[in-house]
Amino acid sequence: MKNMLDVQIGRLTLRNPLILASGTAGFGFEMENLFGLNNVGAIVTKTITVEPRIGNPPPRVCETPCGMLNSIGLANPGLITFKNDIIPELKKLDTKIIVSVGGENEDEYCEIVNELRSVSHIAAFELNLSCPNVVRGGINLGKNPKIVQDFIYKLKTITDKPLWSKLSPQTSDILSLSLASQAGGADAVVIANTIPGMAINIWTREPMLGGITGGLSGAAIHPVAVALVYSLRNKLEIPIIGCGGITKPEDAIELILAGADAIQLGSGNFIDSLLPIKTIEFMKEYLNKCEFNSIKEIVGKIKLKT
Amino acid sequence: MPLEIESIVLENLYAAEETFALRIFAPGIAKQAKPGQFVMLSVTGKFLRRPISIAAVSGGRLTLLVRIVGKGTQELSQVSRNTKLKMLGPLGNPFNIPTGGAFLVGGGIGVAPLIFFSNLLKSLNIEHRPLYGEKCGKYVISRRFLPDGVEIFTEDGSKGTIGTVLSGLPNEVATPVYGCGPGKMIEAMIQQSSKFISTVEVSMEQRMACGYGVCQGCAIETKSGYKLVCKDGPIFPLQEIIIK
Ligand SMILES: Cc1cc2nc3c(=O)[nH]c(=O)nc-3n(C[C@H](O)[C@H](O)[C@H](O)COP(=O)(O)OP(=O)(O)OC[C@H]3O[C@@H](n4cnc5c(N)ncnc54)[C@H](O)[C@@H]3O)c2cc1C
Ligand SMILES: Cc1cc2nc3c(=O)[nH]c(=O)nc-3n(C[C@H](O)[C@H](O)[C@H](O)COP(=O)(O)O)c2cc1C
Ligand code: FES
Repeated sequence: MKNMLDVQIGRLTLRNPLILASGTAGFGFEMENLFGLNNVGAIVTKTITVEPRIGNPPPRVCETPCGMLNSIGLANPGLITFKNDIIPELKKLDTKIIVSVGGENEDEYCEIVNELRSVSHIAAFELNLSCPNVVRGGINLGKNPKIVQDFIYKLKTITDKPLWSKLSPQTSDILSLSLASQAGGADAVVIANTIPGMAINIWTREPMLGGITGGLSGAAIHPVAVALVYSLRNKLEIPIIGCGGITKPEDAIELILAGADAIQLGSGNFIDSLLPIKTIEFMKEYLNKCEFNSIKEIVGKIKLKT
Repeated sequence: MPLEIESIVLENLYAAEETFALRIFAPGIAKQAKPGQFVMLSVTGKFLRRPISIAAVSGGRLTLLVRIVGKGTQELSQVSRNTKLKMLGPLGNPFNIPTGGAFLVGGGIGVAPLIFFSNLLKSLNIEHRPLYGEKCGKYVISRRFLPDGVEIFTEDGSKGTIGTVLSGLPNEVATPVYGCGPGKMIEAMIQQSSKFISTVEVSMEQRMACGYGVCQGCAIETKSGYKLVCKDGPIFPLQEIIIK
């Protein structure tokens, strides 16, 4: 009974399938004050780039129907500060630490992974191949399956740590990109990042965001994430981590039934800081109610009429 | 440490035109709250929570003063007794307490955190002058919510003294000044900064997502780069502020 929630993401065992998504949990310290991080399966850090980034001009967030837009612009302290000041602190957190890696070109990703590869308490790297809020890199690197495959393959030669490939939902072919990630040696795919979006104040005629366009997250994108995960169900050998629009515990189960081995929770944290805890509790309840012994049993177990 | 709670609305009272006061039972937050801090309030039908300053604390109750400026605050104005309100708080850094003498300058609904501050200073026997200004009289919040001895200013003179709230300051201000108000007021304070001899702290606003420093969403530009209103603020030294 005790281990009904543990999941296997490649070589990595998580105590439960709930992972805090990149950029929505900082480096975990503030979350630790709200609930013990020993409750969640893992936390993905804010995306780190080689150089510090101050981020995009404000305003950086705005409300949209059933969701939000953000244009943070990967504000982060950069590799050196991250390594010297933040990583030692991360050791204190009782959960698996996944470092999100970003960059303007392949070399920058390689530099970060190389620099951090021997840090023992980093459990895996998540490659942010999908940030919509930076001009170069990110989303553009993650568009072409051949490039993705070669790129991940190259990173694999630098590190033994698991590599997760986080893709953009804005693609005509999520399957090819996922298969390319797998062929390159990725240990999991994360489906997906935010969807590019925009909002305009019609009275001032100004964009609502300083960065003009942003990434849409929250309840509005949940059905998109479910469909994307479902489209990959039974087609990959590596695990799928579903991400997008979990704003109530039931949403997590939906992604798992669609085919996700684990899930990431992002902006849902902003509307209820205890949502991660509530979601984990609900998973147990759900399994008991529906008479399953383990969360693994329900992965992809959507019932389809034949 | 901030608490995630389901609070209970005890009263929703008229405070002024387009302005209401919520009395809320939230003992855990009330116990920790300091003047200048805020709560993130969930609003039915809205995705993001709305940051609202704590305007007073008594026993286990919080008072929030809210002005209707959009759909979220409009929705919030409809809550009634016994409505459950999800909130997270207290959040942000409080005002620094002066040793003796202070001016509190509240422009519009920005008076809210200064009411709480004035109550605290009074209980500490720290002399201070609360000044409060509105564009016109109909927006002036009912005295029952305001600190004793508050001096009221309206731009059209329809209530209190005619002029902006800043006209209530002497030509040279030797004691600390604490301000909260619209961008225009902060801008005017920056222009007049030569008259401030002691420290000036102001409360800043920005749209927020998390409210506790994890999303980097609430950045404002300051003289030392981008700062997060929810985590580095909302209280900042005036000399750090840039208004664009
Ligand atoms: C630390 C802090 C304390 C605050 N305290 C109070 C308070 O005590 N009483 C009160 O009435 N208001 C307070 N505000 C402002 C309040 O948060 C906004 O008025 C509210 O979020 C607007 O929501 P809405 O849905 O009604 O407006 P929207 O429809 O979202 O927007 C209407 C207008 O409000 C502005 N706005 C939206 N969100 C914010 C925000 N988070 N901060 C500032 N402006 C915003 C928009 O730019 C727009 O001009 C505070 C803001 C901050 C940051
Ligand atoms: C404010 C904010 C900041 C984000 N920053 C990052 C980031 O740095 N790196 C990244 O890979 N994804 C980032 N994301 C995307 C989330 O990790 C997640 O993929 C997306 O928000 C969809 O999930 P959700 O609907 O549960 O929020 C960010 C999202 C938000 C809302
Ligand atoms: S609102 Fe998220 S960092 Fe301030």
